Amino acid sequence: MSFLGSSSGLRQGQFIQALLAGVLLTLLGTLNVNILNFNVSLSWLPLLVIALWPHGAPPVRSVIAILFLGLAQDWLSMGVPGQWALVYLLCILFFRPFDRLKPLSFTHSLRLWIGALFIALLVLTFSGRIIYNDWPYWAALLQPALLATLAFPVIWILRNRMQSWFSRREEAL
Amino acid sequence: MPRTSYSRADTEHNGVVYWVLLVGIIISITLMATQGHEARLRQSVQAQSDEIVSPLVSLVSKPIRVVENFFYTFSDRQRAFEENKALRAELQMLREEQASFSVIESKLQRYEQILGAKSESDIPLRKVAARAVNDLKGPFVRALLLNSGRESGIKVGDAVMTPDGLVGHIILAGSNSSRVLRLDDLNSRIPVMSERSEAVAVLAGDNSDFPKLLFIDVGMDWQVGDLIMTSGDDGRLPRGLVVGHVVEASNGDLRAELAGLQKPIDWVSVALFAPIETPVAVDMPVVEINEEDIPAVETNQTVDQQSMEDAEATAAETPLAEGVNP
Repeated sequence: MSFLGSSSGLRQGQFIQALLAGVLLTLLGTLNVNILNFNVSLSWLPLLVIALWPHGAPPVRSVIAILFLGLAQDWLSMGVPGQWALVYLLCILFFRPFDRLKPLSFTHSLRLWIGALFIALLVLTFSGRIIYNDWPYWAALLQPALLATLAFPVIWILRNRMQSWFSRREEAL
Repeated sequence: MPRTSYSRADTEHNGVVYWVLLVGIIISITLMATQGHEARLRQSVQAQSDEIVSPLVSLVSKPIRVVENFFYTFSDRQRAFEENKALRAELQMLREEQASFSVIESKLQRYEQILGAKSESDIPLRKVAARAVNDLKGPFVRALLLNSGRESGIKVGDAVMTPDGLVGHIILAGSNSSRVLRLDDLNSRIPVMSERSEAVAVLAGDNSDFPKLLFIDVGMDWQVGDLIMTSGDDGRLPRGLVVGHVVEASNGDLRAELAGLQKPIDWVSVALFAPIETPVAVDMPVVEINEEDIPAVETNQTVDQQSMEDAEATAAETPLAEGVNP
């Protein structure tokens, strides 16, 4: 099956996979683990899903789902509603997953992730500066970004495995 | 990002998508502009989402708490021997102090009885235990999510503590969950005092691990190492809750090392404190006066005139004291 000629079932499947991954990582992102007095925050993991949003997912539904994922992230993290939603939507606006012609290679995905990190850091820092009238606590901002970067290869492999498994299942059907 | 990976033709077909994206971005910016950081503290949406999320997070966080406690126990065992020695010495000292404290307490109660003094701002006796299912340390927000709420008697403003000291206070209370604003959050401001000198200040969180001590007057006696306690001056938090110790920052500012936030937070106690009520202005009772009730002014004047004439007559008859000229 070609990359662009995905069936509607497969497209729907990709959307549901991405959405489920987003919800799961948003929930996981609310957890803070305190190990040896070092706080480990997983709050940037959902951004990985947005950066690697599948090409085949229905675009309008995807944008609406991403808006709600962002708002959920804001509410769960006690942040100002709209901050993460804006980050996610800007990522989609710049990365245009719906217009992609080729499947994501590792290097392309990495570039997308670095782009997403850049957008998120800029938006969170400056919107936070305007809203709270203060600069962010840099350690709390950069540490989850670093952790999510470390988790990037794992998420990328999981994503590819899941996609190929669903493609094979679709073809078998 | 290589442009060759993207289709320009598809962009034209996806015009609707970009309109939806634009609307989404406008919604996000509008929410950010209207739901500022102060508004978020009193959002009912936040309380509702906490109600849904609290049991979920509680479930997911259980294995994480086990890992946290394992690491904490492991590091704790390493210094167990030294701690044991120190604790024995401390126990001996505390036993002696406890004896003198009970004498002082009974004296104090007697004085309070004599003076009729009220002590509402003391540490409340009624506490509710709750589990902190989520300890959030974001770049702008530091908060806890508790798995108990209004049904357990928790209300907005109640102090939240660990056995080591104060952690923060409740800012949102749902029926079975509540949010705690930690002392190191950007929005946290509480009145504190030095246990040694009773000098007062305001402890202001700035999202760092060591909140600032603000509004210290020139004459105030604050020293590094002082035990910081709540002063109860705001009438919202009880007086005498342990907050931490004074430390000096590299720029010379005085900051607080928070006693309650040095270990992973799992179980906390919420002090159910009744704050001092805001005084309400009482309207003065309006007295209606009937015209008939007003005494006649003329009659009064007559009486006054009469008494004045009598007084003058008496004065004329009375001889002047010697040596006094009229």
